[in-house]
Amino acid sequence: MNRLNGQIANGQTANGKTLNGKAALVTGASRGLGAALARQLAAQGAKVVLVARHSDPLDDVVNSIRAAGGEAWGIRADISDKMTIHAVAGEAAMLAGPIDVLVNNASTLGVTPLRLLLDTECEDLEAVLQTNLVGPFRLTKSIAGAMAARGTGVVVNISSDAAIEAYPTWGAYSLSKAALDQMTRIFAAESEGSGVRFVAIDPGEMDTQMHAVPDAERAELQQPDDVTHSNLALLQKLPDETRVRTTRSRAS
Amino acid sequence: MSPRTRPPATRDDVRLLWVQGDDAWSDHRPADLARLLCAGDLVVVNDAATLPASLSGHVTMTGDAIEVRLVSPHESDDVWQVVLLGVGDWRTPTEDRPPPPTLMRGDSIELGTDLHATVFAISDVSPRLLELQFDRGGAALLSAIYRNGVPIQYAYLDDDLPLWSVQTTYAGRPWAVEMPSAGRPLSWSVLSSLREAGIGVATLTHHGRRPARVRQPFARRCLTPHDLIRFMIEAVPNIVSRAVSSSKTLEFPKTTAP
Repeated sequence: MNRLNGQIANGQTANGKTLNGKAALVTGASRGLGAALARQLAAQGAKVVLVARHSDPLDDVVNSIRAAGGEAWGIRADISDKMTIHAVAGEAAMLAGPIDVLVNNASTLGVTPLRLLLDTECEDLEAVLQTNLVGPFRLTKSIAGAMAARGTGVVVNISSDAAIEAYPTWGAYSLSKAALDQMTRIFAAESEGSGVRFVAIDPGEMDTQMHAVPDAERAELQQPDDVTHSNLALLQKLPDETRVRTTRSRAS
Repeated sequence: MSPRTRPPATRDDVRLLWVQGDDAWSDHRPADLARLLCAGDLVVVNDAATLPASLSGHVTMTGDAIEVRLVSPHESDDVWQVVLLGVGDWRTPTEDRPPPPTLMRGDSIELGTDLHATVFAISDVSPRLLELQFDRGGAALLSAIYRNGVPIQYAYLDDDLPLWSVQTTYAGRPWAVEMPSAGRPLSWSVLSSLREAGIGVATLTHHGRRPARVRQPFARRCLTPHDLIRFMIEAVPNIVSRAVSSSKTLEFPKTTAP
């Protein structure tokens, strides 16, 4: 069991915080699930680096974490841009220290309104794959090696039931999440013994800007904060599986 | 022997010379390391990420073109020791490039699209060795360096080296102004094979931002061979005992000026 898992599972806490002193990097952290995850990680004592494309909402989340007594920094970057990947990894390591938890959360639905996959332009599919799959691939490669060198680390890839179900019009997004799931499994298989864990988490349907599609029943959508509590519980005891779906849970 | 003119397609597709004494050496590949070493051995690597340490711009007053190469940070987080190069770029061998413009303390330089610096001090070793004070420090300066800089390039290459070509697989904090290239061939596959063979891998993280106060051309964040050997002799018994079970980050003790 790697040191991060052991430390959490053994309840070695300071001030009751399970991630005290750990460094986390969360992409797509200016809103929705990413912002909620960043807040919860910071609340549990982690030093959190948040990545997003737009400065203003990113700064708002960073400032709110700091106002609550947490440590957080923002890096404005688009992870679909390969030129920024090593800058993000390097800046994050300099700001928060060697990264212990990487959350690949940033993703895009692609062109909206959603179209049948058979009506989707090739370039639009490629753009979705760049953000949802290749960006996480590159960022993971730039950080997981350092995790393995330390013998500890967790890479969390945010997935979707669209990775499993064949929902018409969700094709580009679905393809990317299915590939992300498989990438998670392959990374896990190839890194066995390194101390680095890979897990894909399907957070279920949430009430966020990205998932609140016009026909969604809002009352049935989870709030991101509820989802993050489930996700943090998973981080506290990583399952053996590489893919899990979090269930609705209320903040305690 | 001619150097490669481009990075290998796969990072571990290079040759490894195995030297076992004055008269015994043989050619191998990085993938052979697990077989050449023994369980309980330790491989120590430098886990510094490589910065894009070459910044191009011009002297504010005169418009003269200039290239700034970062050498070492100062104890103040907005000051760096740098070396200047003049007109031209990496496709011209350094020794064939004209000298940079002569700068005075207080002269300002514009670098990239939005970075501004002022000459803070000039070394008496060379007028092209300066300390530059940037218009920002800390994380903001690091971000600007990534945005405006490119990796230091080499004249024998065909094409520009992108930043991802000058990183090791285990690179962490961005300390290095040039890649710790001995570690570049250590792919995940090679490192996994070492681990499976019971060979340890330890990362060395440099500390101590104050340059050694000796009259040498460049202040260094790395250590002299004497310092490194002394550290290894003191640390080795501890390292070996842990080498098989885990990776270990070695905290280098701060050096004192000789």
